[in-house]
Amino acid sequence: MPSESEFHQAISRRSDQWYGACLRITRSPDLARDAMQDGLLNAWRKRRQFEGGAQLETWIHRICVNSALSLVRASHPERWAPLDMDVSDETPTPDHLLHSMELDDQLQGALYQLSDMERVCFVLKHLEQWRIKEIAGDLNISIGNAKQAVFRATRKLRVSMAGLRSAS
Amino acid sequence: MINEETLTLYFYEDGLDETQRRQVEDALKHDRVLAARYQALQQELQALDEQVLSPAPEHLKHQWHDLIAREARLERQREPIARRTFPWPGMIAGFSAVLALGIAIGVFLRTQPDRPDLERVASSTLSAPVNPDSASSAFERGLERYLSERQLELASLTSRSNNEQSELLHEIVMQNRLFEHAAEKQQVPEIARLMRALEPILLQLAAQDTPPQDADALRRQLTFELNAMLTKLQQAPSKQPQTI
Repeated sequence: MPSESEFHQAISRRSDQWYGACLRITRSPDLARDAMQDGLLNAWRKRRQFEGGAQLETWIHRICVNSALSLVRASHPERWAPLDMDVSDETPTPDHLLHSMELDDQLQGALYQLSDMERVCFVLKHLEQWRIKEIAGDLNISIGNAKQAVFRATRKLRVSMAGLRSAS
Repeated sequence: MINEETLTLYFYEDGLDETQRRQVEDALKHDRVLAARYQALQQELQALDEQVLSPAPEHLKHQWHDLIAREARLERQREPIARRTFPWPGMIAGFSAVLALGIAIGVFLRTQPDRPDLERVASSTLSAPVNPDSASSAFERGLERYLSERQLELASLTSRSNNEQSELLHEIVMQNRLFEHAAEKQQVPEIARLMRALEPILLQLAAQDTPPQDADALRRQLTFELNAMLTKLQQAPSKQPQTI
């Protein structure tokens, strides 16, 4: 079972990555902060379930990502209904646009152009390396919908990133 | 004809079965245009990895370290307190009283000629419809009462000895924990978070080496937080716990 000092070491080493993943999923610093707090607390309380074979950092990362997914779904449940898959675009709110302009990371900015479903599926697939099956299972959508969301997200991101590159 | 979606899934090595993967491999070998398209896609998708990581704010990192330290401390405290103060004599006396009461009720009911059909009463009670809102509103009422009582205790905290203060504060931490768990069960994560947020203040206040001026500030902060929580609870309709 991981000790308190191992948790502290993991936080020192990897909390930037955990927070980054939560931020990409939730698109909100407040939700990312809550996801991290919930995730860390869950990880600590469930640490007896941690199997030494995996890395503690990776295990906590996954728990924090799951917390972020729960929070983002709870904050806008209507966007996660299966019908939402037909909606290809979501108009970003002024808050989102402002936050996106403040980001120094081009990818983060481009992620703001995606719908919640597309963004989360892309982050889980491309940055978190989840299997499509896992994404579909976790988000409670069909495998076909998960594939579509990943595909639409990559297509949009390729276009916007190419635009950003050519502009700079 | 292999479309963009299939190429994307091929890139991720996911979502295609063995036959589909082989088809893509063959097509890439024989179709130069497709191979060029795939190369461009590969480069563009790989470029999506080249990103600046947004570091977590330092104050949040401190909070996460504090969170783990606090949890570990609580676990260490919980174990000896639970062992030391488990009220065996009280439990035995309570159990005996409940048993005696049960026997007395049983004897009383048997001696009543016109006693009601107990099975019918029990089944109608058990099958009574449960209002789904009643659980959450009962929880909120319970929490409100609990917070009001804690508020009163904290107002007279300084009249107690240091040891008594520390014991009371630890007891409050334990009770907060129960409300935190209940809030999680009731799916009111906001309340669970607020209860958690009170803990570092309580624990710092309970630490006997806290300087008096810091303790004053902590007490004021705690009173403020409790007032804020109570106001929110009183304002929020029980059907919308998320607004708390």
